[in-house]
Formats: sequence, structure tokens, C-alpha cells
Amino acid sequence: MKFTSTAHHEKATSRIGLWLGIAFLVCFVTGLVSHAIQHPPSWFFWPSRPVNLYRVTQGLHVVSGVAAIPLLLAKLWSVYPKLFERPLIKSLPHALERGSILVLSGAAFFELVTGILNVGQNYLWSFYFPDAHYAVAWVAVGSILVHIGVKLPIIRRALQRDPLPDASRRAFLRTTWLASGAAVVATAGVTVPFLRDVSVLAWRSNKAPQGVPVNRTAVAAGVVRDPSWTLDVAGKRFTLAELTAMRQTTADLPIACVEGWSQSASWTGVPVVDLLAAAGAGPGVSVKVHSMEQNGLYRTSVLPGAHTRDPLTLLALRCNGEVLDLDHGYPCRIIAPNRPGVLQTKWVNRLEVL
Amino acid sequence: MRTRLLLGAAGLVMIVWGALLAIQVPQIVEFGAWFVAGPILHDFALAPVVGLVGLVLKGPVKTGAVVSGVLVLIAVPLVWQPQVPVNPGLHDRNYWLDLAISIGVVWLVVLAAFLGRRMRRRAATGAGPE
Repeated sequence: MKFTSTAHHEKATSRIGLWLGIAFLVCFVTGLVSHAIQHPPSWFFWPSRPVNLYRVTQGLHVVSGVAAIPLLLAKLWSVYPKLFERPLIKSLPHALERGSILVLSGAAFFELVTGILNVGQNYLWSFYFPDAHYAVAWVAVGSILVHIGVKLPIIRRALQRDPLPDASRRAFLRTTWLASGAAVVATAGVTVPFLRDVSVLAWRSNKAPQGVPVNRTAVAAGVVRDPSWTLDVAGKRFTLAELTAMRQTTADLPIACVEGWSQSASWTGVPVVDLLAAAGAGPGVSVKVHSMEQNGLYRTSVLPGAHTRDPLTLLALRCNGEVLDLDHGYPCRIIAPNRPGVLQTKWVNRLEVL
Repeated sequence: MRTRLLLGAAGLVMIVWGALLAIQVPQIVEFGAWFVAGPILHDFALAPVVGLVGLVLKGPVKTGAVVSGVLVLIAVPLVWQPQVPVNPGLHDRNYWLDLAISIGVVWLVVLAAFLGRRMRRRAATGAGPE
């Protein structure tokens, strides 16, 4: 078999590889941040400001993942002739190198394919997505580093400025950038407000109650309106009427989902710092938030001290001027600045001081 | 050489760490199948087909086909939803229509590029309209 296209030249491979590497690095760093917020090690600190920071890091995670899909395909096409090199194995180092590339390719496909299926909530597997996606991320980025180490002399040579670039190679690169750009424009509206009406392949829509998408409905969570509902804050009970009578704060805060979409809304409710004070607990304590939801992985969440101290961390009773929709957590939900949406616990009935 | 060795060593440590996390996933066979499926499907199905199609297409049409193909790939999880939960505001648009619109836009751009090319060529050869 003979491959004559200039797409297979090392100058094309290296340029696409550089951008693919950057995309994976962004995914990895933002993914680690998101992982650490949800499973914080003792040394980890995540601030409550700026309010949109997580929205940006997780948006970057998903957008750079989407951008990487065409880049990975172009990169593999650029090196495709190497698959047919004979002899298959020349020496032990050669065998190790080929093996490492299989690991790299497997890990890269795994991350991008499970990622894009996950944002569509299209679970075609039975394993737990976050654990698998997180484990393979280390394999993917580790094998990228090994690959760069192996190829560094070629990369250095190939990335030098080319005074007379080949026209057909430039066309291949241009097509790659266009495909990557088109994929980004078609999806980034999930989180970038000005692309909302442009991104036709965005997995979120505007057809949600009170303008905010719902990731778990009350029906799915098995929650119904309960007239006898009360809120337990560190052992002190509050009725809905008592909460409504307290000083209310209104704040524009986003729901920023781990699945990349985000939506800002105007939330009104009682600052958690006030509730804690009313129950005799000081600000800056960690608080475990309990939901009326009986099952489900996310029926509780822990608000760290940085968030319980922040006056914008609300027990929200209203959204965009209306009483909170049952699907948004009626009678009340936590809405805290700079947090993953999955930790903005809905149908709250208890705040436990840790 | 030091840089290369450092990169390799750091990479190996990360791979081992990832593998240690990965073997704790209970559905290890299914997980492993997903891991190897990508390279196999790509190397022996997707790449040969794309390569053959690439032989017959040229210029803006080739670019348009590549961009359309990528849009189809990222639309697959949205148009094909055998067991996706019903959630208001999420994955609840008409994605067949949306995909058709996005591909339509791509081919309008291709058409424009094609016409632009022809006009430039005419201007260059002096055969343009008077």
C-alpha cells in the first residue's frame, strides 16, 4: 500500500498533535479540578468566588473535548500509513513503542467517546462513568507524555517554521481546523450564552421550567409536595412560612453542570449564613445538605466553610421571580456560587453542621 | 535527552496510576472492550472508508464532506437515544432537523467557496463578464 498524500508528512502530524495535546491537557486539568471539588482531598481548597469560575472550567473541559474529536481523527489519519509498516515488530523498543501507541489511541478514543455520550446522558455501558472516565484520563495523558518523549526530536524538527509550506498540506491542516471549529460552534452554546441560538447540536434546549434545565426530575427522584415539610438546621426546625418571613437575598448565579451546560438564573432565598446564625451555628462551618430524595447518588452534598461563609450561598425558595418549580427542588434548594450543579442539592430538608 | 527521559518517566507513572484506578472498575471486561473498541473500529472501519472517499473528492467538496462527517459523529449521541432519561431542557430538541440545518449551512459555505474560486479564476484569465 502506498500513501502519497502530504497529510501524512511529519509537519502535518506535529502541528495537529500540538493542538490535540493542548486540548487533552485542558481537559485533564479542568477534569482534575472538577474531580477534586466533588471528592476533595484534605489539602484541596476551592473558593466560592468568582461565581462563574466552575462554569468556565467545566465549559472548557467539554468544549476542548469536542474540539479534540476532529483533531484526534486528523492526527490518526496523518499517521495512518505507519499502521502498515513492515516488519510489524523490529525490536523490543519498537514493540514497546507500538504498544504504547495502542494504549494512547485506546485511551484517547475512550475519553472522547464516553465523554460525548455522557453529555447526551446516553449511557450505553453499565460501568460508572465518572470512575472510568477519571481512570482512563490518567492513562491518556500519561501515554501522551510518553509519546512526546519518544518523538521529541521529530516534533522539534517538524515544528520549525516552514518558509515554503506545501499547499496541499496546508489545505489538510485548514480542513482540520475548520472541522474542529465547526464542532465547537455546533455545541458550545450549551454554556456560551451568545452561541445559544447558534449551536444546533447543543444537548440543552430552552424548553425547561423557569428557563433552567432539569437534570433529575421530581418524578425520577420520587419526591412529591409535602405540606408537613419542615427544615432542620442543626436541630432547629423552620417551617416554609418562617423561611419566607426571613430576610431574602436575590442573586444571579449559574447552574453549571458537570456535563458542560450552564444556565444563569435569578435566585431568591435565605442566605445559609443567616440560617446557621439563627440556629446558633457560626459561619465558616462545613454543612452536610440532605435531600428529601430517598435514593440517588447525589441525595446529600457537603458545603465547605468557604461556601457557608459566603453571603451568596442561598437556600433558594424562588427562581426567576417564581416559586421554585418542583423539578428545581421545591420547597427549597441549595444554590451556591462556583459549584458543580450536581452539588446544588434540591428538595432540601436538613442542614447538618459537621 | 534529559527532557525525554523525564517525560517518559512521568508518563509511565501516570499510566500505572490510571491502570490501578481502572482495575477497580467492577465491570472490567465491558470496560476493557470499550477501551480497545476505538482503535479497532477506527483503524479497520472508519479510516479505510474515509481514505477511499478522500481519493475521489477534491477542494471545497472534500472539506465540506469532512466537516459534515464530524457533525454527524457528534450528533450520534443526540439523534440515537435508546435509553436516555426524560429531562426538561436536556437532549429534547429535534436533532434530526438540527443536524440537517447544520449540514445545510456547511454545504452553502462549500457552494460559496466554489463560486468564489470560479470567479477568481475567471478574473485571473481575463474571461470574466464585461
